[in-house]
Parts: sequence; C-alpha cells; structure tokens
Amino acid sequence: MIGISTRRSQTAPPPGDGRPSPIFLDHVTHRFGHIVALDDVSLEVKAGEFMVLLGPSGCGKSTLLRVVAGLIAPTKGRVIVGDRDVTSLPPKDRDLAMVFQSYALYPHLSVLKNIEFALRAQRLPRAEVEARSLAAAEQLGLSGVLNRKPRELSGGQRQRVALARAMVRNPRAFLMDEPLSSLDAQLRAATRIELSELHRALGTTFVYVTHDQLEAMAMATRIAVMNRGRIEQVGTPGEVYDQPATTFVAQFVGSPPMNLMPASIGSRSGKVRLRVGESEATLWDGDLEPRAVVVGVRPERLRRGGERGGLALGVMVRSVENLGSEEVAICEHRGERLLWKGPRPIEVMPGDELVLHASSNDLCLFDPASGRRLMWVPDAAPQERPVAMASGASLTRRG
Amino acid sequence: MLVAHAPVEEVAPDALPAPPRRRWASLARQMPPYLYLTPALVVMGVWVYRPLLLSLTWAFYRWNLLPTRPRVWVGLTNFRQVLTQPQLWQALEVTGLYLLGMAVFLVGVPVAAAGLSEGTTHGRGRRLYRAAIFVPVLVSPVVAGTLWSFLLAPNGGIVDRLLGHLGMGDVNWLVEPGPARAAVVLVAGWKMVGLAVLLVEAGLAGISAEYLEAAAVDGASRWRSFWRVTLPLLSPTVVLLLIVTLLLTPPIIFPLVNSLTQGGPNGATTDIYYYVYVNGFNSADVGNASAAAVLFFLAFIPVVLGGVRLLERLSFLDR
Repeated sequence: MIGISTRRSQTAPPPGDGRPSPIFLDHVTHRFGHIVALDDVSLEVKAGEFMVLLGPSGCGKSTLLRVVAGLIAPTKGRVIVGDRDVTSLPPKDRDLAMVFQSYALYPHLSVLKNIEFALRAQRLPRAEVEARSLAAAEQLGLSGVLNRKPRELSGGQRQRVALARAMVRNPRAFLMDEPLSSLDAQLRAATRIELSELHRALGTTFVYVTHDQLEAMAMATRIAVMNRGRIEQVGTPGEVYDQPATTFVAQFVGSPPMNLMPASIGSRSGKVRLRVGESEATLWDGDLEPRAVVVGVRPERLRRGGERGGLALGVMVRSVENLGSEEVAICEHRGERLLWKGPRPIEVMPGDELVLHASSNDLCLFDPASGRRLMWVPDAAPQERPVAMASGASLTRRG
Repeated sequence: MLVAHAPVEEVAPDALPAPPRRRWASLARQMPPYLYLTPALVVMGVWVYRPLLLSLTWAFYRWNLLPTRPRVWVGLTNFRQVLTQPQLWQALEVTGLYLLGMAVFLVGVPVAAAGLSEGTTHGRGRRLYRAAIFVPVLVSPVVAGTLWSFLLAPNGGIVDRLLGHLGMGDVNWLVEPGPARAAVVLVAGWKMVGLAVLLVEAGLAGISAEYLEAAAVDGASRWRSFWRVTLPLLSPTVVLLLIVTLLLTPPIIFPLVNSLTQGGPNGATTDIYYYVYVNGFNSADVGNASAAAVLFFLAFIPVVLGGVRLLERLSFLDR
C-alpha cells in the first residue's frame, strides 16, 4: 500500500497544491557540445526561500534555471523538487511556474486568457478557472486591462501579467529569468519591492536569475553567485557582501567592486602583520610563515582619518564620480587603481594626494593563486597558517 | 523675494552662412531608386499592363487573331455569350476543385507536417528532407507534366503497376474525368508542396521558442500547445499560404493540364485559364476569350484584396 501511494505521488501530484517545495540540484552538469555550461553544480533551495542565482552573462545561471524547469535535460545529475526526482519529467509535470525574460505572453490571447492558460490546460472546471484568474489579476492590479492584448500593455503591465500567469497556478516554486531586465530603472526599483512583498505573501519558493547584484542584494534570502558554470558562493546577501568566498565574488558583488591589492603577510613578535607597500597593519595574535596574499577592502570602508593598527594607503586622486548621495574617488595607489566611496561631498579634487585608512576588521584576505578567501583559525593548532575557506565544498559533498 | 526656477534658454549662434545648394548633385542623389525600378517597370508594362489593356479592348470586338482580318465592334455580345456557355461554368467548378485540392497540399500538408515534426528532427536530417521535398519545385512544369504522363500511363506506367500490386490497377488516370482531375491536382501538389513546407518552416522559425517553453511549463500537452499557441502564431503564414494557393495554382496547373490531359476528357480538367486559352488560341475567338479573362480578372480582385487585408490584420502576431 505504501509503495503504491508513494508511486502515485511521484507520477501524478495534485496540481497546484501550492505547498512550497525545496529544490535540490545534485551534481548537475550540462554540456552544449564542447562547452560546459554547468560544471557539477549542487545547490539546495529551501522551501519558501527567495534564492537568487547571480552571475555575469554566460555563467550558466539561466541554464541552471532551465534545467530546473525541465526545458533543458542535464547531461548528468539529478533535479529534485520536494520529494520527487523530476529529472526525467517533462516541464508540464513538474508543477513549477516560470516567468521569462521576455515574459513570453501569448500575443494572440487577451490578458485574461493568458492568465487562464495554465489552468485551462489542467482542465479545471470553468468556474474555478475564472475565479482563480480574476483573483490573481485583482491582486496584481490588472482588473482594468483583462480584455487587452499583450501588445497594448506597458512594460510594467506585461511584467504583471507574466507574474499573474505564474501565480494563478499556485505552483510548488516560481522560476524567474531576469524578469525585471526590460523595465526602466524606476519601475525596476518599484517592482523589486513588490516582488519581495509577493514572495512574503505567497510564502512559495522563488528561484530568481539575474546579473544585477543590486537586485540580488535587495530581494534574496540567499544568493548563489555563479561563474563559469560553477557556484562560487552561496550565502545571505550580508555574507556574500561582507565575506566574499573568492576574489570573483568580491569584485562581482558591490558597486563599485571591492579593491584588491597584492600584499604579503607574516608575523613579528607574536603578531600577524599584513604589509601593502610601505604600510603595515596588525591583524591577529599568532605566528605564521610569510606568504603572499591578495588583500581586499570595500571602497566605502576606506576612511580619510587615521586609525591605529589599520592599513594606511597613500593615494593620488585621478577623478571623482558624483553618484548623488555619494561620491567615488578614483585614486591611484602604487600604480594601481583604488576606489574610495564616501558620503557627498568627500572634498577632494583630481590631483590631490592623501592617505586612506582601512581598519583591520574590514580587510579580506585571498589566496593569490586560487582566489579563495583565507580565514584565520585562532587556536594554537598545529596548522597555524591561514586555511583556504572551502566555500561550496559542503554543498558539493551533499548528495 | 521668491523666484521660480526658470528654464535656461540656450541659443545656437545665428548668421552662419547656409551651405550652398547644388542642383545637379541633389538630382543625381535622387536618381538611384528610379534607376533600380526601371527594368521591373518596363517588363511589367510590356508583359503585364499592355496585354491587360489590350484584352480589355478586345473583349468588345469579334476578331480571329489574324492581323489581316478586321476587328468588328460587338459591344457586350461577347460577355453575354461567355456567361451563357455551360463550358464556362464547368471550368469555374473545376477551378474551384483545383483550388481546394491545392489548399490541401499547400496549407494542410505542410502545417500538419509542422505539427508532427515540431522539435523532433534537427540538423542534417532536416536539411536533407527540406532539399528532397524542394526539388520538384525546381523541375520545369512541362518536364514534370511529360514525366508524369509516362508514370501515369495505362498498361505499364509505374503508378499503374504499383497500384496493380495493391489490387487497385486498371485506373485509366488521364482518361476518366475523376481520376484525371485528381491526377492534375496530385502532380501540381507534388510539385509545389516543397515551397509551402519551406514557407511554413520560415514561419515557425519566426515564432520565439519562449512561447512554446512557456506553454510547456504552463502544463500544456504538445497537442494543446500546437493548437493553442503554434497555430495561432502561425496564422499569418497560413493566410499567406492561402493567398499563394490562390495566386499560384492556376499558372502551375496550366502547363500540367496542357501536357497531361489537354483539358480533357470532355473538358473535365479544363479550368478557367485553360478555357480562356482554348477559346483564344484554339478556336481563335479572341473576343470571347478576352471577355472571359476580363470577367475573371474583375472577380479575382476582391478575393485577393480580402486576403491581403487579412494578412495585414494578422501581421501583428509575428512578433
């Protein structure tokens, strides 16, 4: 009996029961010919989570979303939605809703028919289809345009229709492929807030693809930063911003990106010290063998005023960018570019020479070869060198 | 004092010397479009519009094509005669049958093939299939007609022999009225279906894959996604194919009828074009043929205009 009921739940789930489901990607690899689009990616999206897949174009984030949707069959690996392995199921049996970058609204159907499409495909009773569609339209403020064709709508309205079309299904999870990228900046900011509110109201799992780190930071419960078909780091927006796992994440997240400088690290009289050019900073108590590192510091963490124990960097200002609330000084430090961001006015002119300070707490260390973040293990264990943080390793081990 | 922010007016410096105008240079710049159009306009004038006007005038005369014979003004007599001839009505009926038959080949078959093959064949196989099905389009109609008259020949023609194996031999394809009409349509369909398939493929290529992906994620079966998404989005192509059927069927069928059946048996395969031709050149009754041609021309205008209007109305679906 149990066998039968399990089997049934695996092949014919009750459609649109709206239970937020977790999504597991288990060692997913996908190749287009010789190109490896996804390289052994493992990720857990928790039930009800707003997971953002963030990365530059071509990093595999859209491919990953399509693998989840079932539009692309992975070369290797499994996709699990809830308690079902859906790897070999066609998209229509996965009970997931997707919002496409172009929205893909059926141009020959009215707004209402677009919203009803999925429910009609499920052959639900006429009255239920209508009631649910009208409710979704109402919720997204589309009641006034139900009889219009998509081409008669503004970009923002189209985006809402696409959302309504997904929402009406009451799916296990929403998949969104850069849904805000064709909106103008103002509308995008407004829609960002609405999407977050929608997520809170529905409580459903969201998987959201974007290349816009601002979107990711603003909306995500967790962010998976992707690069070259691999996941570089998974973490809350705060973790990804403050403790980037790799130099790639450090530079991709944040605007302007984190400053990275070659440096060396060593110890003297029981203190670990970092050296950049002539400047030295004391980091921790302890001993280690000298080695080269890359040190990173966020532009807004730099201060003009001095602090003892921190890094003091002599720079020359090349130019100043006015961002409205803040200003960014593009400086040169030992022949390399260094950015400093501060509340406006920062009161420097091109050509000015000054000293910028960074507190030890605001410094991130990376391995020059692998680009991975180095973390200090403070106890007197035999291993006294910084160890590379193995971000993603815990994920890859899951399975 | 409170002063409103005033918009700044910035003025371009005036009193700059105007650039000199060169009459011939500007004329030479305007010439190319007309030069490009000229050859086509000349050809159309000589081979389309001149004959059109000539047959319009000849419809009111009695004349037998011989330059030495006089043309006699007979007013509307030719029209009256044509409209009372039973052959004209039979030719109209045959034309209708041909159009219906060709619609099956030029609209039905390629659209059904598109539905069945959607997303199944790719790459080399698809290109090979496309090339194979397009070859008959390139075969000259007269060659095709002659070829098929051999293939369809009674007592020993390949078609006859093959059907004989299936127990359906002894059809005298080109002599019995029903089979003769069917043969004309089948050969014309065989010849043109490749073009229609190509047009449908182009139409399908113009439909963004995201619509079908959205339908798949929305839970639509392949059948439903074809009927509810692909076909409506393909409707401009379907209308285009209907217009193509309307416009291409007569000129394709004419040489086939001429080489396969010569309009026989007893006019069973004579459509309106062949009827005009036989009247004009076999019976040398130019007035009669011209009157029929003019009538047909006038009847055709609203049909084609309607088709074009429909195409314009549907064109928004393209993107």
